[in-house]
Amino acid sequence: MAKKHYVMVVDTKRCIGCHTCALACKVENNLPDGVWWNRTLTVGGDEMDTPEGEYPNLQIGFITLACQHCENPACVKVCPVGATWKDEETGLVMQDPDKCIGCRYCMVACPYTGVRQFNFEEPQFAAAVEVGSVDAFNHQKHTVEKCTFCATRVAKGQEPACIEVCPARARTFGDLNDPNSDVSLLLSKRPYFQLLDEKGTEPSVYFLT
Amino acid sequence: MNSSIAQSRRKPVNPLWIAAAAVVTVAGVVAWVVQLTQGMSTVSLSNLTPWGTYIAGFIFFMGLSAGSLVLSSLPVLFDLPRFRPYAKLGAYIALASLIVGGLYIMVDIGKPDRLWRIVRYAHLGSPMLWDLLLTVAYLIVSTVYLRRLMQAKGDDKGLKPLALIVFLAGLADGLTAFVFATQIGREYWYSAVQPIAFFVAAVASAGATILLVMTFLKPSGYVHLECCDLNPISLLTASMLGLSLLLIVSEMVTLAFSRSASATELIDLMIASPVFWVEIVSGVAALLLLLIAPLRGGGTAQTVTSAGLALVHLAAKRLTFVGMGFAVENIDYAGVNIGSVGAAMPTLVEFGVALGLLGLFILLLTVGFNSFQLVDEPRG
Repeated sequence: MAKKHYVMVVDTKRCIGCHTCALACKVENNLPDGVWWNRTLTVGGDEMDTPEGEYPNLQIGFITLACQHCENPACVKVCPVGATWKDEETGLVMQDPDKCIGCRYCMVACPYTGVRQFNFEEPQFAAAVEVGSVDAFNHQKHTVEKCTFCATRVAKGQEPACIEVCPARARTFGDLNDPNSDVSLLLSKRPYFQLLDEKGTEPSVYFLT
Repeated sequence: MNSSIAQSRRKPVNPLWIAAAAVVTVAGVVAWVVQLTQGMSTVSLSNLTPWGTYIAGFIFFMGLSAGSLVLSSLPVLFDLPRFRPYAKLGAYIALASLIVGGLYIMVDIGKPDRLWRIVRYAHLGSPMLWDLLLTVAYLIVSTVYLRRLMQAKGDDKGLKPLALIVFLAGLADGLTAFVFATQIGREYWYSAVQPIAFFVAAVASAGATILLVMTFLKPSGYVHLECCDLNPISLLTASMLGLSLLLIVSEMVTLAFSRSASATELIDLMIASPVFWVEIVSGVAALLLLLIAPLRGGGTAQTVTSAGLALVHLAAKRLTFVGMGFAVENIDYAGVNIGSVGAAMPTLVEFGVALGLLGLFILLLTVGFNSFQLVDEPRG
């Protein structure tokens, strides 16, 4: 099987900052209270969902922030036990909570603020029943977790949950090694940027401008 | 030798000190159990500040271990009789601080029951593994060296090859710095100066600790100190402190000159941090006191003050170092709250654990002094 390089393309011109992708992620992956694998950040004022500037000259934009599934991942290099690794077949950066010793070195190493999160206590859940995928991540106290690009869905040929729910169709997922994939076509036509590309991590999330 | 004199020389520490250190250690164990059962939300860490006091403690004690090994090897390696009294003492402090330094990592780890995985699934590319291997090397080297020093009678010649290994092991403290200095995401750490800065601070902390220990042991007759015996170690500590301060200036200048937004924010945050000012003021004061000590004959009060200030400087330096690594977010757009940025005041549990390990260090030292003769007479 040819190696894949799954990437996510987020159209910042389409994103309306509705947080639906963040919530879909929370439900699909049965995330504990306080844990957000995917967040919608406001490029604007000092508070979430507020613009910058003074009326009537106001500006607001959004980026969504989750694990960047880097080609040169800082986290994988530092993990002392190999609890986080790069899947060679898909390019996804994976995380195994059963292997994690909770040293948080990956959180220290990752330049993308807050995409790796630690369960500081026994996970608590807002819903009384487990939600989301039957093979959702096994959340454990004192271990690190993060976005997996919904690896279990991708393995079944589905798209990550955040892609499916986006009402503005701002998000596209696919294989960058396939020149005819939607992501390849979008990136060949539209200008884009990557977060902190000066750090040399080669992130797999692209933002169209 | 009169047996009562021998007895008094062998037990220089009042048992009350040992009991107090033991109580603090036990309190630390209780605090650790609370942390493990109630969760690490009981300490001042967050998703945006994943390391804190414990890692600062780890750096400090690993440095103390490395610096003590260097000081311990100097007299044997280079025939320096004025440093000879500190050979055994340095090796013992190295061993005690290594145990405590390792335990600071143990209490920092969320799943200490999975610690064995570091051995079983060792990822050799991780700087944390380099540090672990260094720790194991320190443990072996300092134990063997200490044993040989205890057995050595008069002649140090056979010890030289071992002392060379000990010296090189001490120099390798820079490896600890690589845990931090290799991190491209942390602007304050990502600097080739860190391995040097770590080494300089390591030797300074060992010098200051030895000065304090020698002064503490003096009244009991466990050590025989003439007026100027501590001058060489004072001057060595002073020179390392001076270099340490110089490196802070060098870091600040290179950061400030870039005028990039993140570097400017870092400088502003440092200047606003009380811990940073404790570091600077105590460092400068310790340096001045250590430099004038030889001129004034180095009284007890002066030695204790200068060495104490030097240790305050070095502890503050470690807290600043770890804290500033997390002070500036690379992506600081507003979103849902996932934790606070930058170092926070330690919680009661965190303070208890950290203090408990400090208590253990004092316990190990005091029990050592009461069990063994760890300071030799000067030779030459």
